Amino acid sequence: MTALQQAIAEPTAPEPEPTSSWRDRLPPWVTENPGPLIALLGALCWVIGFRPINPAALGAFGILPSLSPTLLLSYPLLVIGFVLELRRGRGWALTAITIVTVFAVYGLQPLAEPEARLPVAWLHVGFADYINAHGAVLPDFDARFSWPGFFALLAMVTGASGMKDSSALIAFAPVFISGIATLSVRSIAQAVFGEGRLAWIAAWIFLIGNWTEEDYLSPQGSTYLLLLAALAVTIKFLVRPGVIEPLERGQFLRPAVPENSPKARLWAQGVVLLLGIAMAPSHQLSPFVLAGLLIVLALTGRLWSRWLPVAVFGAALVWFVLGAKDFWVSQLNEIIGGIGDVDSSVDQGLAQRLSSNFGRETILVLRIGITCATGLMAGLGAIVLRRQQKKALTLVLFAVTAFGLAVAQPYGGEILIRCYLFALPIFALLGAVLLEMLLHNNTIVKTWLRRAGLVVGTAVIAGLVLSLVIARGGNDAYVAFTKADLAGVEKAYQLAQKGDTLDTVTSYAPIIEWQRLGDVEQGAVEGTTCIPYPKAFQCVEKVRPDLLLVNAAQDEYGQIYYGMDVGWIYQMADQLVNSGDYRRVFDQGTSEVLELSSDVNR
Amino acid sequence: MTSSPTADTADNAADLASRRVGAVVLTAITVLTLLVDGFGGDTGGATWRLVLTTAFTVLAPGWAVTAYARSVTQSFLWSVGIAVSLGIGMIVGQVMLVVHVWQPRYAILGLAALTLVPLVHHLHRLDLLAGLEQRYQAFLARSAPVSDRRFTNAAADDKTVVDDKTVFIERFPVKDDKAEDETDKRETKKDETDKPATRPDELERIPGGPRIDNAMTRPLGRLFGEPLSRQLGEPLTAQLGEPLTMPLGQLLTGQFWVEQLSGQLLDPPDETALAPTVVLKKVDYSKVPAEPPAVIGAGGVGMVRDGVWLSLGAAFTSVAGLIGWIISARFGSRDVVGETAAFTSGFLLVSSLSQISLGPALLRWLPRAGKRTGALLIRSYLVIVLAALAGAGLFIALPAGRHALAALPGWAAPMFIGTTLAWALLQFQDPVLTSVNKAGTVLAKNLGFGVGRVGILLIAGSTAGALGIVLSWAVPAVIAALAVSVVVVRAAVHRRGQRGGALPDRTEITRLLGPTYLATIGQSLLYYLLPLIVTGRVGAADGAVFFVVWTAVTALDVAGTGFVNSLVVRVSVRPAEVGQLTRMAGSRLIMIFAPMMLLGAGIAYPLLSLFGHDYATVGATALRLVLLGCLPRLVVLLAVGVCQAQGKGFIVAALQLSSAATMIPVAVILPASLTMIGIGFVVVQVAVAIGAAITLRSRLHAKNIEEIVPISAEKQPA
Repeated sequence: MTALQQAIAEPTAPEPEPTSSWRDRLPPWVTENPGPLIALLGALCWVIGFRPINPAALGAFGILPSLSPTLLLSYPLLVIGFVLELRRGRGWALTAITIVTVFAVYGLQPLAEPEARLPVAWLHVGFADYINAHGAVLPDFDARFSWPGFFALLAMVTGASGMKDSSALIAFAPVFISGIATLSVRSIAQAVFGEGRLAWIAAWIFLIGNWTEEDYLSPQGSTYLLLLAALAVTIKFLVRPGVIEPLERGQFLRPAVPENSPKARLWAQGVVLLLGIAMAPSHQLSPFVLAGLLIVLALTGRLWSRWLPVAVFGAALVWFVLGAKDFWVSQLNEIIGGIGDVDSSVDQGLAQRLSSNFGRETILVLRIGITCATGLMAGLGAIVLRRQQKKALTLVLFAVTAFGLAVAQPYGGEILIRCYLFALPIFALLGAVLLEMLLHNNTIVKTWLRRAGLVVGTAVIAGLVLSLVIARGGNDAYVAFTKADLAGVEKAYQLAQKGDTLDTVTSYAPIIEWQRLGDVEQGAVEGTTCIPYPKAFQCVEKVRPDLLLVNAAQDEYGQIYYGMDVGWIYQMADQLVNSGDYRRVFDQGTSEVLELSSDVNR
Repeated sequence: MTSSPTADTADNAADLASRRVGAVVLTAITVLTLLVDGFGGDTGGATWRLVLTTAFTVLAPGWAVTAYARSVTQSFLWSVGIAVSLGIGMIVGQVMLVVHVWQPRYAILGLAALTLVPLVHHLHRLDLLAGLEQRYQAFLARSAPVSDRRFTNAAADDKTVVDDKTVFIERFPVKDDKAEDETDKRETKKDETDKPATRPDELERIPGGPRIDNAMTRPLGRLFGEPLSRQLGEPLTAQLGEPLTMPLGQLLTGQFWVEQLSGQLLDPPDETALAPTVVLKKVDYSKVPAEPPAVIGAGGVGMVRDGVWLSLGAAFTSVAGLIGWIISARFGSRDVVGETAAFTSGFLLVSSLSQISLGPALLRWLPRAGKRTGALLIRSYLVIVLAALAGAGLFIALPAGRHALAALPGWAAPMFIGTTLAWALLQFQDPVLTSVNKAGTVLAKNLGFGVGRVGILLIAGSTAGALGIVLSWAVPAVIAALAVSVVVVRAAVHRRGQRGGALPDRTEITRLLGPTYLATIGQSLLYYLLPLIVTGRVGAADGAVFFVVWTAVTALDVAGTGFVNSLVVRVSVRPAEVGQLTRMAGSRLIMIFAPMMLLGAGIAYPLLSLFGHDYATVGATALRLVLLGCLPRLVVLLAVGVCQAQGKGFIVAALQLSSAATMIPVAVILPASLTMIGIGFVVVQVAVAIGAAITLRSRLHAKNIEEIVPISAEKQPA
């Protein structure tokens, strides 16, 4: 065959032109930093999409209608940036993306809303201010005064800085507490899994699963940080073998000495003891939870210092018996009666929170969804851990211990939320194992499934973070305040005389007991024997507070929880004024203050 | 997950750097909290003050405790640190509630004062650890990767125990300094052509065999790039044929402890005759002593520690002085305070003049005096005592002096002489203590004096009137001067056993003391004359504001000078290391002072608000400007220190006088506005700093540092 024939018979394919993919044409600084760049884009979207929120205009869906699509888009972008950077694992980039996300999630409301939110936070400031002014707690006033450690700290800082009021700290407390809690979870994860991606993923699961809003200026928020730190120190310095490592024969009865110096162990024991002692007079639950977690470590044969759980539990018990005597003497029946009443806890925690309108239900479903998603991830993570020849028992027992609180007492119907909060770091640890497998380690399935795993993992995180933002702002119709609301409260405090009653209609919504604690009797008409729904006017006429606060938050609260008409509280206010029993002494937009007329018997 | 040792050390270095930044920032926050809450009063707070106090309370105490933990990540350090801070705060608050003593401001002040101790310790300790890291990095840079060394040796030598956590033994072949230099050159060339790493054993092998003619210090001299004999304090010697085993637990080299050094000197020498075995233990930072070995303390690390002590001592003196005046003003009538002010100003002036700059000069002379320390001290003390007595006598003889003594009829003259003498000695002893490596005593002395003075004022100020105020100066000054003298005498006795030592000759004394005295006068002019000129120009009201602003500048300047004094001492004994020491001192100076200045500039308005709203309105901009002007002033202080250590008195005088000589006319010429004077200050300081930087550069790059220092041990002392 001649060369010509050969050429005709086998036409050679034309020399393929060197094809360059679009990735090759990108500058190196783009190809090397896709994660940070996408996260930066997310941050820009957040800034561009940011707009102020008017609390008076919010409804049952919370802040969701007030959020721009651009701002909502920023969250998935931040997640994608994080996931992409996770493969490279550069500490500075992951730290920066995490900090930006903490601010984007937890700093949204402090920045967008005109005043600090959450009435309980204002109440806590009131407690602290009372201590600062009197150098003592107010006896027989509130159960929380029986654990005054945190309020004493707040009062000390306020007094030392020459202030009478620490309300300036309320707004950004969630950013600080949740940010540090995220850091703490990363420390725990590092102690359990070592340095690496797992620690970052665990921190992020915590970051995007913390819808409970217990991170405001509160004893539970601050002692939660103490609890996490104590756990991190214990696992890092006082546990051998590691929490997920198999136990050797004989170690159960005689734990091995951790691989560090005696000085390090002494330091660690001192720190855990200090944290336990600090928690004892500061919060009802946290020290007992810490003791429970330490007991789990001791029972699984990993805790070297077996006296620690006894000491922590002892400190909490001593304070409960001696320091909180006023509380338990008055509440004995409630406490004893509540033990084992799981149904009650579940009812109050779940069922009561579901009985509301569509918007409210949507928010609740989101919260339950986040809870179930993190729980499910944790469960699957435990299975994956087992398949990796690691031990998941201790972590599972940690989570069980946290939920064991539900058996202890109803705790005002919030116990399930607290249980979830205490279990969330453990969920995060176990969930991280699952997500790590989905995102990076999916070697047991085919290539296309590996990619699917990456997409699914990213989508789960992105879905969770969006749900979190919406869920955390779900109550803002009645827990966020306008400047006029604050001005109204201050006006009421100016007008109130010693011994007067200053009331709101609903029991949860407005800022009260922020000032003049023990001087002016402050409460809610709803909290009395009279139920103001739907006949609010009659109820107020019956209770006859000297001063009555009226605002949009209460209006929304009535609508959402009790199906009241729009503007019901203003109609009630008009009725009260028209009746001549009350006069309007403050009227600024949606915020009003009514004062009992002088000719009416106060 | 495993990482290479090189990566470990890089991480360690980054971690140490982060910790140092944390320590500096938290120290600044703590000091500010002390100042702001200390002077701020129980009422009239502001949101920024609440934020500052909160930041201190939730960050600093716990961080100071947690930073003692080894091998922890930054996440751990900060999360646990914050939790511990909150815990401490809760306990303190709770205790106050339980015992019914509610004093929140004093509680925070006490907490801040207590926190400052570990924070300063961290600053010092982290410098030590950073120094170790730096040396280890240098060691790594000039040898093969440690991992290679370990595992190569593990395979080659059955004595080697490889264990990341505990001990490994490595055989260091003996080598000669000169041969090593040649080898280094060859290796450098070789590295340029042949990148793959050579076996470390080959790198160490020196052709021609070792030299064992005198001592083992030579072959071991470059063990970790630093002369071993210096670390040991004295040369390591051994006789031929004798086995040598030395436990050296305190010897730190790079990241390793040398736990044991053993070997045998054999005759005749050959390449294998002397093969000292060095048992090294990787540094577990938990085992690094709280106080570094004294021999290391003489180096850069000790310099930073001493600098911090001296700065704190100066800062505390300023604060204590202010508190003393406030108490005096509260207890005494205006007349009494005025009369005692004349008395006090008198003895302060006389004792200051009687110093004749001997203190700064001793910073250079004493460290080099060796066994002649005692002789130098006796002569110096004698000069100071005579000068103080003469000055006091002259002052009493003058009409102004007699008027000043009128406040204490009968007691006045002997009390004036005694107080002047005690105060002169007290001032003089600061540089003496610094020079004999007792900078911590300066801080203790200042603390003791301040507390004693305030205590006497509180006890006697209200009852004894003018006498009480004068006694509050005299009694603690006498006690402190006597106590410090004991410390100084003991240090001098301790040095008697040293070998060598030099005293300054007449030329040295003349060339250093004369110009330095001029420099002191220049500095005093800048400190005291400028506020008077400004007051004359802008009026009494604005002048009072400037006085407050200027007080901050002088306090910073005095504190900065204290820091630099520790550099003077080190450079004077290690002239060859002037570059390294100066760079270290400069970086620490900036690290400590720049954040304070910038923060002070940032919160100038609220700071001045403590004195009153008018102060803030009129003086905030000026305070910002002068604080910014103090930044270039740090360069001037550094240059002054180096020149002083090198005996360049004229340059010292030129730098100090140029600042005063330029600033005073500028204050006279510029429009009568505090802001304009502040701008003038910045411009002058930048200009002087440029000159100082050029001078400093030339001093650091001088060809032969030793020749710069003209002290000769052979010459007869003056």
